[in-house]
Amino acid sequence: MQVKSKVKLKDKNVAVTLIPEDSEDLWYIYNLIKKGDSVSLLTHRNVKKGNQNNITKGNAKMEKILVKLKLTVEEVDYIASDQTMRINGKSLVQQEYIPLNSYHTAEVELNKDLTVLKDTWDEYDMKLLDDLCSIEKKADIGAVVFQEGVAHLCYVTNQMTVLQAKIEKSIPRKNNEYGTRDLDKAMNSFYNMIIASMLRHFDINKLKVIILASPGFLAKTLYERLIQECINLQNSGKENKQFQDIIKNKAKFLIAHSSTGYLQGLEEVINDPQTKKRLSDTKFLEESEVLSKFQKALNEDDGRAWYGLEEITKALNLDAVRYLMVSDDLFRSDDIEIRRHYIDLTEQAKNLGAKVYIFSSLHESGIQLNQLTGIAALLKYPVPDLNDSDEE
Amino acid sequence: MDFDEDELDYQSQAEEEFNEDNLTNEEYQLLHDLLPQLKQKLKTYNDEIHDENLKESLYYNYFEIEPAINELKSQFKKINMSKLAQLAKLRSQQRTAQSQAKESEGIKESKLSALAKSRSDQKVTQGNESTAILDRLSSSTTPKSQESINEPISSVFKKKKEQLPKPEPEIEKKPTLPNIQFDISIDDTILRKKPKDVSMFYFSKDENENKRRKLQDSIFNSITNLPLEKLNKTKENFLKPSPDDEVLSAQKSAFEGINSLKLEDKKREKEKEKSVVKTTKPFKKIDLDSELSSNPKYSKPQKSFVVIGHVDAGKSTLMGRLLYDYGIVDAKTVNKLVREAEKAGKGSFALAWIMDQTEEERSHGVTVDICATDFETNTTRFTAIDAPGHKDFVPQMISGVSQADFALLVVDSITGEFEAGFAMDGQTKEHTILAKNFGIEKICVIVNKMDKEQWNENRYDIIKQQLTEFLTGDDVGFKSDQVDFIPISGLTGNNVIKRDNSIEKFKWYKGPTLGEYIEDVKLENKVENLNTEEFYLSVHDVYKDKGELKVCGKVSSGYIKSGETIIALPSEESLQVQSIKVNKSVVDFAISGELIILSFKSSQLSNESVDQIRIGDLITKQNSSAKTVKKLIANLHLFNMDKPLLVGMPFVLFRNNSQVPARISKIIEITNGKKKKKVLHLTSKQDAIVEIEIDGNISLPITKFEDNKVLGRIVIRREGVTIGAGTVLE
Repeated sequence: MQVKSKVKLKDKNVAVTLIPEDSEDLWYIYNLIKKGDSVSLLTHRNVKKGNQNNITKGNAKMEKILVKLKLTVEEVDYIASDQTMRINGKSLVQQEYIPLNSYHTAEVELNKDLTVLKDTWDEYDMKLLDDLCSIEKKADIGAVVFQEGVAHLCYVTNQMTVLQAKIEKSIPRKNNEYGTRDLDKAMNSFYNMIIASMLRHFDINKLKVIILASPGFLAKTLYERLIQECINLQNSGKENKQFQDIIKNKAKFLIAHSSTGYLQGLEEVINDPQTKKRLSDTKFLEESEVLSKFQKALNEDDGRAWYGLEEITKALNLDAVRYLMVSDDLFRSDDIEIRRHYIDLTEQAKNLGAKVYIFSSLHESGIQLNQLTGIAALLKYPVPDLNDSDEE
Repeated sequence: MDFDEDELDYQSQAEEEFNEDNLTNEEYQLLHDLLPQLKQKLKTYNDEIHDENLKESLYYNYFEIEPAINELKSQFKKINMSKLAQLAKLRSQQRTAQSQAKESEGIKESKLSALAKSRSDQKVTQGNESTAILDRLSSSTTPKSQESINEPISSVFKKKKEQLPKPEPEIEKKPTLPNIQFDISIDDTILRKKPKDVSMFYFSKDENENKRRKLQDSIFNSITNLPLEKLNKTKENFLKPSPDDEVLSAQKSAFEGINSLKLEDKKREKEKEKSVVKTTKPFKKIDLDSELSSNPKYSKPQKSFVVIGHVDAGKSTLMGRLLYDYGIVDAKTVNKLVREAEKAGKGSFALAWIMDQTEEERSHGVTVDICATDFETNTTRFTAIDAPGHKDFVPQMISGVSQADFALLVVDSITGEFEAGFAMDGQTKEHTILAKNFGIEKICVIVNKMDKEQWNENRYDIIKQQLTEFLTGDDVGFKSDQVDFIPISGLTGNNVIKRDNSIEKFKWYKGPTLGEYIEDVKLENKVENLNTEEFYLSVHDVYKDKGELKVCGKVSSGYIKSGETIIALPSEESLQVQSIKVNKSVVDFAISGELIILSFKSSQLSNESVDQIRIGDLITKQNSSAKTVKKLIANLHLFNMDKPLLVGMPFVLFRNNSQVPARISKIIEITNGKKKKKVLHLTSKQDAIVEIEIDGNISLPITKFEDNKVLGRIVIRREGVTIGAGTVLE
């Protein structure tokens, strides 16, 4: 993502022009834009051309035109699986063919300017802007989590885990009558399906690491087969860029162990010390580490782990918080008051020396945090009865 | 039979290419029984004739020795070896043996070495023939055992030299081995490129052998072996409806009333008639056979057991041993496996390979998937399931346990190994907890590898005490009368089916052998409520074969008849059963507890290219109370966990043999411990009523626990650890 310009307008609002470069940037923008903000961007719109008479008769020609629109935002959508983001709002400036206050839904396109205007840029917004400009913090990981019969291909970045493909195949069991004939055949085609799907979905040159995770020895077998296939193809003289890339980037593959082939196995892989070494200090790794610390404390029930807004507010007032975990879902609230409240809370925590983590709800850890009211904290010392007083 | 036919017969047989592996089991056994005799007789004439030639000549001469000798004599010239030549030959043999020993130095000490060592003590006195065997045996073992044998060998070699000039005396060929050990020496001959010696299994002709033969006969030729009048009588008997048929036809008429409400009724009715015609005419023979096995169904109990335990405890080997000693797997197959295992340098895995058939399993020496086998003894019909012990394959193990009535928990008695399997992350604990929670009634602890502990009674008692404490403790909760203990050695086979009374150190054990135990073990009889139960089958395996879709699984309740229409959940595909197979024979119906294979026409599938029936699906009849759900309410009991179970935290939910990713969506009530105002997490050892939501667009067919005890149970696992078990409430 690039920030093209920050302009202070006459009415003292700040307009920021951004250029999103990949799908993750869209996610940042999704978090940045709130209801009531105004945006201006290039977009396509179907308009009816011709004179007024024709339009009312209904036989006017429809035409798609490219216009620069300025909208007040009413709704923002983000679809992780499609990696698209849409802004819905009313137009602020009258133009030819487009009346004032007419509704329009614009899809945010990559590599196109997008200007965001806000009444106030609060701390959370500034942090987001900061984050989205730092490229070195980015981690692009491709992961294949699979077991016999089911495989999940996903793409993991700082902000999100996107399931790109799910492969399912019924694998017969070994059998007394038929031996392993059917099994071998099915496994073969299962591996081939995974490999084909990997080639389709992963851009190996861009990804930093590709994790192959499965129970047992399957991951290793898959890796061997993939490499073997590449070598075979090379030997047979057929030139294929993708296969060459794979061989070139052999070192990027990471074979890991997970107990299951479902998507939840990915979390296990990421928490594995072996994997951590390879992934170094990416943001989501820290997050999931803090979360697992919190969970451990919760399991021990030693009064250090708490969740829920009231409890956390109390703990903050006691200056007892070490780690504060907040889901970005809470900042997305349409109600300015609520949003403000959470921002104040995190600011308070920061000032008290607590470390604040904002979890992306597109990651597994964020989803879990959302289920726990979206806000949780690990305290410096046990406070056993945080939730008792308000019951009486 | 007149002469012409005989002649024809001879020719057709002679034209056949001789191939040892194509022989029937009986021929194979006969061949190997006769081979040493033949060799003995030819020894003075020419001992350079290859085994292959010997076998071939035996085969073409109808396993008669004399004609075979004559034929061989005409083919091969007599060799009069000079004393020198014979000496040279002997030396070269010795040299190859030594070089082989060197080669095998790199190989990890196999379980064979111990075997060889123990045998070397007994056998040195057996004469030249056995020295040759010994020689080869030691060659495949480690240098350590080689040392111990070297001395006696050389002395015997000296003796041999003295004897060489004159014709060798007739040596008693029957080894005086204890019959429990199977002679692994033979496979070394095959390792060499040109086998020079007899390749066979030694079976002494005692009652065990007879028993096994009889067994084989009864399995393979159940009808033909019966006397004619008896056969006729049974035929007559089956012309009238059997007691089962009467019961079932009564049920059928009862069910037909309900079915008439259904749309598919007419079609089904027609199909039923058709199938009735089918079973009476062309399948008459098979029909008899099936009835033969289904009638003693009530006198001969059907039991299914699963072998569980920590990785490398010897589960698959024990399973292989059981099948081998019961004669289900013939010597030929084992012989072949021993050969292959030796080649791979994994001699002790030979028996395990009966069950572990895939490349992956063999190369890693680990069972990956369960393997079910049916077999029958004089008193009982068994379904035996071998389960993987590795932590990663617990899902497969669960599907094995869900099909079994009782479990054999195999523990490794070797000092250190038992403790490793029993420690916190050992599989012994998890497996027993799972077994208990999937409704296993009885558990028998098999204390394996006792031969390595010199059959030490103290060791056995220590293990017994520790495990009894654990099994009857709070975590697992078996009652003490549900638990039994048996010391065995799966590799040598002692106390599995047969007991080797020659082992002095094992005299202290007075209990039953494993074979006696599994035949005598008392289980609750579930057959009674057959009439009222709904039919459920959880799919264990699906495969396509010659345009037919075959579905394999255990009937967990009710009954099924061929021709009936079933519904597969969750796809709601309805199919008509074309045939039912139990124990590899086609039957007309199958009842609760049986492991069956259903076959369907794949053309009946609504979409052939998609897998409409998957492993773990539920097959039922119409109007079943099973529901396909995305949310369920369950009573959950949690075990020890290192992390709490939060609302929204993902885990894998297991029901019978299906697994789905799921998470808790709501905690309704914590039934033990202090109650908090709002709870969003559960900690170790809590009991709670929770609402579970299944992830993604998957749905799970399930029944309430009160409706079906098997299908109403769930277990949840996270990150490779079982964290809780429960029952379905809604």
